[in-house]
Amino acid sequence: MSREFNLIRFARRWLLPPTWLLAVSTAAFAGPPPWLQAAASQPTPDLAGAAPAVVLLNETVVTVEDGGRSSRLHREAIRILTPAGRAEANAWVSYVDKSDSVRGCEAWLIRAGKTVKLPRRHDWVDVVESDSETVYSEFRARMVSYADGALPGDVFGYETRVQGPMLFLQVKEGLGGRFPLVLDRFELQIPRGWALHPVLKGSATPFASVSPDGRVACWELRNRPYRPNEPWVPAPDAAEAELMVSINPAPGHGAELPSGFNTWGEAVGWVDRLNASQSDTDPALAAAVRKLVANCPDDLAKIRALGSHVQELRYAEVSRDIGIGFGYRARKGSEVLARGWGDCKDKAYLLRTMLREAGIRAYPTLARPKMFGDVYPEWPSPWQFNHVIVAIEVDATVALPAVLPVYRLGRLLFFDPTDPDTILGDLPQQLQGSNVLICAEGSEALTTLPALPVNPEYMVETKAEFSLSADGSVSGKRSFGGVGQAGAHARHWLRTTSTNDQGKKVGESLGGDLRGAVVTNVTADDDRVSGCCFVGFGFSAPSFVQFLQGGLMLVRLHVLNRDPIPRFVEKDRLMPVQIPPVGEHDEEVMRLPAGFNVDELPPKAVLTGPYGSYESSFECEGRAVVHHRMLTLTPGIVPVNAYADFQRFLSDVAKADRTAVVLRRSQ
Amino acid sequence: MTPCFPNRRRTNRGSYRPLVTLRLPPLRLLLAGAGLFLLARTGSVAKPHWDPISPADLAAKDSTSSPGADAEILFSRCTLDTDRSDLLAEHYVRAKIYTQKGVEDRGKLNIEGRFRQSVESVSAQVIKVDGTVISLKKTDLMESAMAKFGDVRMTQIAFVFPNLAPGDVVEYRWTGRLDGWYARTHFLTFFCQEKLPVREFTFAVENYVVNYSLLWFNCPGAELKKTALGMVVTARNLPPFEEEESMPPERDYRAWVMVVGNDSRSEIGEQWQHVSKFWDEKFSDSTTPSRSVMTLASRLVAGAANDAEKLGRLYGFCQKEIANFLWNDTPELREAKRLREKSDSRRKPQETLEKRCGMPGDIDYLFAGLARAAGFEVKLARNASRTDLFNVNIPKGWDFLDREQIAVRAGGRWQFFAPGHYWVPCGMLDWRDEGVTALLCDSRKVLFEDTTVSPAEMSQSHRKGRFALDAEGTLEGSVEQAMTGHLAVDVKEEEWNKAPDVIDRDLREEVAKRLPTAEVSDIHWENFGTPGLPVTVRYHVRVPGYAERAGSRLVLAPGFFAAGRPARFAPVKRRYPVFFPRGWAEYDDVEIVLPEGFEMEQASAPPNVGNPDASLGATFSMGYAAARRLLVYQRHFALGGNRALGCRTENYPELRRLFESIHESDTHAIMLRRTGAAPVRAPSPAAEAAHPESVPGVAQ
Repeated sequence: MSREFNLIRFARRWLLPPTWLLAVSTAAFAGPPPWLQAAASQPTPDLAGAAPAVVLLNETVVTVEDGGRSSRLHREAIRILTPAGRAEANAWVSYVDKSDSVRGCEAWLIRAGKTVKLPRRHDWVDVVESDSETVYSEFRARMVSYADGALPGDVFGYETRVQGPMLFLQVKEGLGGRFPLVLDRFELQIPRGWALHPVLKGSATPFASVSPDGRVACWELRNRPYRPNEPWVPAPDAAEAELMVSINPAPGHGAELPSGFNTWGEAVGWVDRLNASQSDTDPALAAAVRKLVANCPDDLAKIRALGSHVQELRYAEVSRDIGIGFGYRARKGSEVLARGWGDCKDKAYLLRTMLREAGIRAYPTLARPKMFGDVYPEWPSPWQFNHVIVAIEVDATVALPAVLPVYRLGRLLFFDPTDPDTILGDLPQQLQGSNVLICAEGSEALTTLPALPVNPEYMVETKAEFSLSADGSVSGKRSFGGVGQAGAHARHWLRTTSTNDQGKKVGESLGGDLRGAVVTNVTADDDRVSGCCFVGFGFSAPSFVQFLQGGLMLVRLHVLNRDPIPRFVEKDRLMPVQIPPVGEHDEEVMRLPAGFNVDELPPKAVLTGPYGSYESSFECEGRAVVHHRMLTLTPGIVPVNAYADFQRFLSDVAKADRTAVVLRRSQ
Repeated sequence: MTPCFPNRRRTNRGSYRPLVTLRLPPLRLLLAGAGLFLLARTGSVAKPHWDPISPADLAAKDSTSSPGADAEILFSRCTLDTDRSDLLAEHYVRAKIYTQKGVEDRGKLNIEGRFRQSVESVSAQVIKVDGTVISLKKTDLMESAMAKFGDVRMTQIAFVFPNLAPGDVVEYRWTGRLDGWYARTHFLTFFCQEKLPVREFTFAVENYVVNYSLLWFNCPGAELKKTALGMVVTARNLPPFEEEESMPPERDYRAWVMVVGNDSRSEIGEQWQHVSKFWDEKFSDSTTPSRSVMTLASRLVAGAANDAEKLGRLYGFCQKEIANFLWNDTPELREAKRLREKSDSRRKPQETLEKRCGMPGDIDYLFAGLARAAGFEVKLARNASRTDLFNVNIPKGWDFLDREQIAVRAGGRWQFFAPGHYWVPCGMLDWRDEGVTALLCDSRKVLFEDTTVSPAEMSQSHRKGRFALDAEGTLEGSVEQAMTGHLAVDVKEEEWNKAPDVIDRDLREEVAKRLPTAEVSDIHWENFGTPGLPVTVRYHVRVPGYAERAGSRLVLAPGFFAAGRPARFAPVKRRYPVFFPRGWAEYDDVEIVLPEGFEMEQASAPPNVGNPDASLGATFSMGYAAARRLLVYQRHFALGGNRALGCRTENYPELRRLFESIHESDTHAIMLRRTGAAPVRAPSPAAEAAHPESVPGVAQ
């Protein structure tokens, strides 16, 4: 290597430092950007209340380019208010691997107007976003946490920029969150001549504005209060305002652009095209179907046999090629069957294929469990869904709760092959009453799945029959279970509890008050046709009662335990209460010990109200005391101003449950 | 089999790093390694070798050693080897699946790399009952980066066993590659007992990055074989390991193996002496009192009546006058902490004194310096946490001594201090350091000394309740609870950093767990952030339905503070001894004004159980002032009154019976019968103040 060359290299490296110097000075000495300085200079608003942190600015700017790519700039400034709020000094930006590129990630911590932690690239960690059932995922995130360095009063700010192709010509954004908020702003920039069609949903209404040329639209939500974590909140992760925007390109564009949807029919068409070749078959699949339906007398039996088989396949998810829509495409049916595992769409399309082999028509159906929020008919988009089930054509002889007549498609039986505990004819709780999109030719609208009544769908039946001895010991048997989702609950327990652990778990469920309880002979009775599933067991305990002077014996039946009534310990409530369907029916038969008679029984108790009903009664039947108890909670929303009433109802129920039977030794 | 290296680093400060000798692998291994390396470079992958499987294993329907198990590990093998400067851990596991639950649990596998460790050469297959083998293809093994930061990339390989069903056998192999430097400076431990029964566990060391020792614990009947390449230890028929309530640290009972580098200067038996000397010299050097420290010490102890008072003053100064980085948070201390963290060495007492702040260890060393200056004999005591390992007096046990206390000779015995723990009062240690065997570091000999266990009386909970009960069974009144010792430390550690509303919510939740209808209000806390003082909480509570209804009667459990608490130790049988983290005592003082129109029926006091001054017990007393309708209930409970916190497995039934009896006494109820005539209103002003308003009852 010549000396001249080395000199040139040296000069390039060290003698041309203006840009180098500039870069260093920018990184090391520049203060926070003006937007963050401006946000940090704001005082803490009164609405912050007891919140651990307040969001001073949450701003997102999405710029859609002519070619259908977009860039997303996100800025957030959050002031830490309490030591517990330090955990909020963190940033998180999601992206799709191999499709998106993260163009910038910077974070600052400001104390008394000065940056105390300089931006450093390696503070950001790139992690995969997956759960325990994910085998591979392209969903990734960059994250950084300054929680260790933050103090109350500090302002944490960050800015991220992600670019990538749009899957749909649509944008979905949530405004407002759990923490008090000064300004949440979303800006959408589109090319000249393009048009926007926004749909707004949620409890808060943002202020909307559009630039005169129509290229920039902006939505702002200001001064929102703190929404602390409270139990039984409707869609806890949902934003206060949901903004859904469809973007229509200028005339002449279109063919080369991502898909956009003006009707549900277009959304169905897109999903169908994507999955056109995935419902394949092969000799192995055909043979498997033949074997499974060999002894089935009718179509319903065939559906049940094939549905059960697919339900039993292991759930596992592979998220590949997300950027080009394969989050909506199932793996080939033949492959799913051969490997024996798949996710919801794999299972749904496999079941459809197997049913087709058996001569039964079925449609994949896009769904969204209610815990993730509602599906809005006004915004046709596959984006609203994150789950796939199956709608199966059945004739009039099939009368099951999950059957629904659907316009143009006839009677359809909805079935979730991903839920291994919910039998054919029933629906998982999270899907009941939700809107789904049936992927069938001519399907132009959402269908609302049936919401099944609490009784019998959710009614947990608990039965105990036992004998008391004069020495205070007890022995007997107990069972719990039911039909519908109550049966699914028992089935889930059986499926996820090791045989060797069942006795122990049941013993724990008897409650800590049943001292020294020994559990024997745990049995399961599961009928997957009727959906009735019960777990039974025997039990004994040496000291079940309390002896009192004067030959009295005190027996508390509630220690045999039932599902505890939910507790709402806070006096005040900021969010409405979402009451889930709850049903409990208990029957306890207590045989009296020789030499003892009933001295006094608790009175009958009846409570009725808008939130549910409760009834408890004790009766003597020969030498036995029989206790009946029934509690139902009516699903619905309790507004904040009725919270105290609802709390009182639950308290009255808990109070009415605290009863005891008094026995007296015969003279 | 624990999938990767569950390794530990030697302690940072003052850690003893033995001289290690690199041992080169034999030439033939080097050649073999080179061959493998070339194969890898050319892209040819050797087909994995699978051992033949016996027809009996294929046909088995249940585990013979643990009937009812969902699955069983037929064998689990781990072989440590070296490749250039790296350490390789080659794993081979074969498991039999017996139930659908076993399919759920074992059907998907994630093999995760960790920091400075990668995963490679993964292969897996399923053997069906009829002997058919389904091998996983390369496309079935999905590799992804779990996390990336800087130059570090942690990968995982995940896969699903195809069409797995009960009766199948799964087997899989993988190799973990660990940075050789990392292996040289850490010791590696592997648990060989799992939640599933393990029929055979083999751990082989063929080559290691340094001269090493292979040790195993809690593996009855394990065999060691020396081979041409190294050592192999085999353990058989290991039952499933399941954690039990209040058990000693799992390392004392769960089977595990350890590989650790040897000190080339001494035999394994002499190493305790070396480490003791090493730590003592560093400690002596680091705590030599300077002139200003000596001046301060003499000023602090001036006029003290005895050694205990002297040490108490030094302790109080260190804990209260020196800002502790871990428990004090101001911008100035943050900055000081940041600067302090740049140095790995222990700060000398003089410097800590000048800066008036420090890490907990700095504060401990300042205390040591002051105690030395005051004329006490002082030593460094090193111990393992009681959550980690009890029995440290084992070969290489010094590797677990990662906690430090200051031992001071006073009153003819060694006493232990750690003022660096901000909340722990003088005379006590963090509960993790109490009742453990500590090494008293000494240059001449190996000294072990057990640290003291604080008796129950040092951790008291005084609970006072003044209530009124109404005719509907609603209890309402005020509560005051004061906690000292370990109980106060627990609360302060748990809550000091939380927002006030969260602390109050925690309390409400805790009360509601026992009493679901309880409404807690007007909560006031005291001494949350003050070391040494008891934590006190006062609140108002209303509990509708506290007294159960039995027809016209009310059933009242006067033990308000124990009501609704479940009995402890539900299982009838137990595999491991019981060990409580700390002893404590409870003093309950409850007064309840009974409702007008009711009288007590055949009331009796709960029976006493055990002896609170011994290891476990509770005493009760109850009285009734008829004129004021005032029921007075007192309870004294203590565990560890005689400093005994453990119980052997064979004594478990007796312990369980005692707890059941205590629970029975705690829930003891009295019956209140309607008199029909309303007596004169009670004169107690407290009761009048607490008397509830009318409560809507249950419609009948």
